[in-house]
Amino acid sequence: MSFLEVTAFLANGFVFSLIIFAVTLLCGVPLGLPIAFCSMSRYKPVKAVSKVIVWIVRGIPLMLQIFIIYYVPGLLFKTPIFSNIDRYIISNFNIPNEGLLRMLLINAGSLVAVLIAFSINYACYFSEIYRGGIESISKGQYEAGYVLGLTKSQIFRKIVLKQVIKRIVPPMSNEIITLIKDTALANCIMIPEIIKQAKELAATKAMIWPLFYTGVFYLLFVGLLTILLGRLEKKLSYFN
Amino acid sequence: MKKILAVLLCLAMVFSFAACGKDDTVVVGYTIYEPMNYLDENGDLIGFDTELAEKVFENLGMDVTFKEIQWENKYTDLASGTIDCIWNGFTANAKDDDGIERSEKVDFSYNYMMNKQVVVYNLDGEEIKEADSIKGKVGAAESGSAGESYAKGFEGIVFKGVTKQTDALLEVLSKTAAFAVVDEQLAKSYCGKGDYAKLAYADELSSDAEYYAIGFEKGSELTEKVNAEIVKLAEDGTITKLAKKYGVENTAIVDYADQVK
Amino acid sequence: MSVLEVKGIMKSFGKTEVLKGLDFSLEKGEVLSIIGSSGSGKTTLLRCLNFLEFADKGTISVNGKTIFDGASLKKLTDNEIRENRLHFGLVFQSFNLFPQYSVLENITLAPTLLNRGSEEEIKAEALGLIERVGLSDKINNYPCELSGGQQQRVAIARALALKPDILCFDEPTSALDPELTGEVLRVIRDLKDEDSTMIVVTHEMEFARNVSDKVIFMADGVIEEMGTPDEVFLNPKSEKTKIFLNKDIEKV
Repeated sequence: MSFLEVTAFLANGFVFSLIIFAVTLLCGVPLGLPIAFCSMSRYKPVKAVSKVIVWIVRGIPLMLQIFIIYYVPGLLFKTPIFSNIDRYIISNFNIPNEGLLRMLLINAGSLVAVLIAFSINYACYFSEIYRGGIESISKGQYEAGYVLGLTKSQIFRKIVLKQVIKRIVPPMSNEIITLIKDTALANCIMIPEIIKQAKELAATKAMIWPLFYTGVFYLLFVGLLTILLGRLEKKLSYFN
Repeated sequence: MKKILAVLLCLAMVFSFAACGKDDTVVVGYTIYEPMNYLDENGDLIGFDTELAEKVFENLGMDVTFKEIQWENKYTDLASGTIDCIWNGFTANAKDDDGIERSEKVDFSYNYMMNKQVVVYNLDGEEIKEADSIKGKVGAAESGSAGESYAKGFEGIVFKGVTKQTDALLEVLSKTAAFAVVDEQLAKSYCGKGDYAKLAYADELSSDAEYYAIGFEKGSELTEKVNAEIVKLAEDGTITKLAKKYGVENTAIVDYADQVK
Repeated sequence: MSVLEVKGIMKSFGKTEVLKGLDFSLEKGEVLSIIGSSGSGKTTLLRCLNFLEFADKGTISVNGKTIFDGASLKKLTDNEIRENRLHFGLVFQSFNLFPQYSVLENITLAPTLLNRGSEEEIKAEALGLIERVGLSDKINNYPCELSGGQQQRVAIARALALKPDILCFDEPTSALDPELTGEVLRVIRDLKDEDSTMIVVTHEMEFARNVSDKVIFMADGVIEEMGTPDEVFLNPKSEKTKIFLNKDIEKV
């Protein structure tokens, strides 16, 4: 295999990494907000449930969570949801013989399981960042809003939110950069993400260098992320 | 809020159609293992086991799909219904590392191929001839494989579990292990060829005869159906043809008379 | 009729009684200064008027209408509280400007959200207020670019933008460097000339004496002394007032 062929083969894997990355952000970022609010709720049961969930999700390894989501429906309820997705797709779609679309279709079930696990896991981490951000806003900002006759929701949306965003950008950047690297965990249920693809080459073609070459993909992407997140941080630096 | 609701609805839909998955699609669990299940130049999955499975389920009127698994997770995959059978050079007459016979954990089809475990070493390193020469050395094998049990049977070795049989070969190739214990079928197709030119295996250290069979969940209805189909394919010469194609004609079983009760 | 009528206001935090029954009233255009040592309940009183705290007992009436009655506390909805609050404006000790908004936006935010007119009207009004507090050259600056005194002047303009019946100041100069207090006090004095009704909690005795129409000296949650500046400062009747004022002179 030529260098270009290897690059293309690994790039297919990186598409899976990017899908996991994008969907986790798309679901995890909004999902973290209700969890953060529940964790700050005045109602003790809501707060307790939310705290326990966050504790569990942050307390056990993401890899184990992937296994739990993937296997438990089949083991406990005799309904292997995710491989049923595979079965459904196999019997209802024409699967092309090669290419990225084929990889996506035959791995759809496991991919859904990974996406759920990642989204929940990251939502919980994000929720704690949100909570820290929200709680760091001084009481005076809320009171200034109250005495100006604003509603709670107006105060949150128009006054507090942007200040929270400014404060959470650095810790969120950290999590986001960790996320792209965490996507490699998906290979524990054989999602053909980039590391898995590289190991495939090592196993079938005895090519070991592609495994180290994958680092370039991550580095380039993290570089891009760093620039974008840095811009966002700079954009918000006009106020304290 | 609406967005979250939309996402939840989508998930609910996925779950509902997933819950009523089709019964006539069989998911075969495999790991990359030449010549049983492996990828050709175009990246298509081929191999003796692959083609035999395709033939069998085609004749049974079922759709078949192949799912790559981690070998050490095979029982979980089977028990959770993630896969319907393990068809991947699965040694039937062996104990797992926990000392329990595999036949107590899964239902096996008829044995369709003979095999043994062999010890692979690097020609650039020390030659390995008898059990004494591997004492104190690092030996790699796939976790959860018959090779693992066999490797651990040698006295005084340091065992190193890896996720694939081919990874075990890589360990030897990169000299992070002195030897690997893998299936003879696999060793035959890799050792001395291409990038694996430096690898060889020592006949003196091979295990007793083993047999490959297809593993199903206990009580699966598929076992009998697949058995009957294999006997038919043996009788009409299909198995012989396939065995020749993949160079396993010496070990593939074509006479099932003594296994059929 | 008085603009503000406060009767029997009591407030406890846990077992600590902070306000032990206060009565006073304020006429339109009057400036009331509240003085007293820390912990005497001055700030709590202002917070009760602005519904940031809820008094346990007593009533608050504005323009003859009772807007708070300790006996019927639970009947107030969030919306009623918001409406009642708008009778009062509050300028905080620590300004509490919104850091992400410019000077102009800080002032127009609430009128815009409360639909107090068209965009142009609100902006024109805000520019007028900014001019009154002398910050016309700073309209597009952000709070972090202003001195403490300038920030407090913006905060005053922000409170005025909603045209409250009574404007309250909670120690408006306490967080400022001494050389910056003058500009803020000048703005408050100018407001008096324009007939604004104001309550000023302050430690600036000179200011209380020269600007107010009425002075209240609070001690331990009660009004110890109330009267014109001359009455309170020159002829205090209560011992506590005398001691407090003497201490203040010593400090100077």
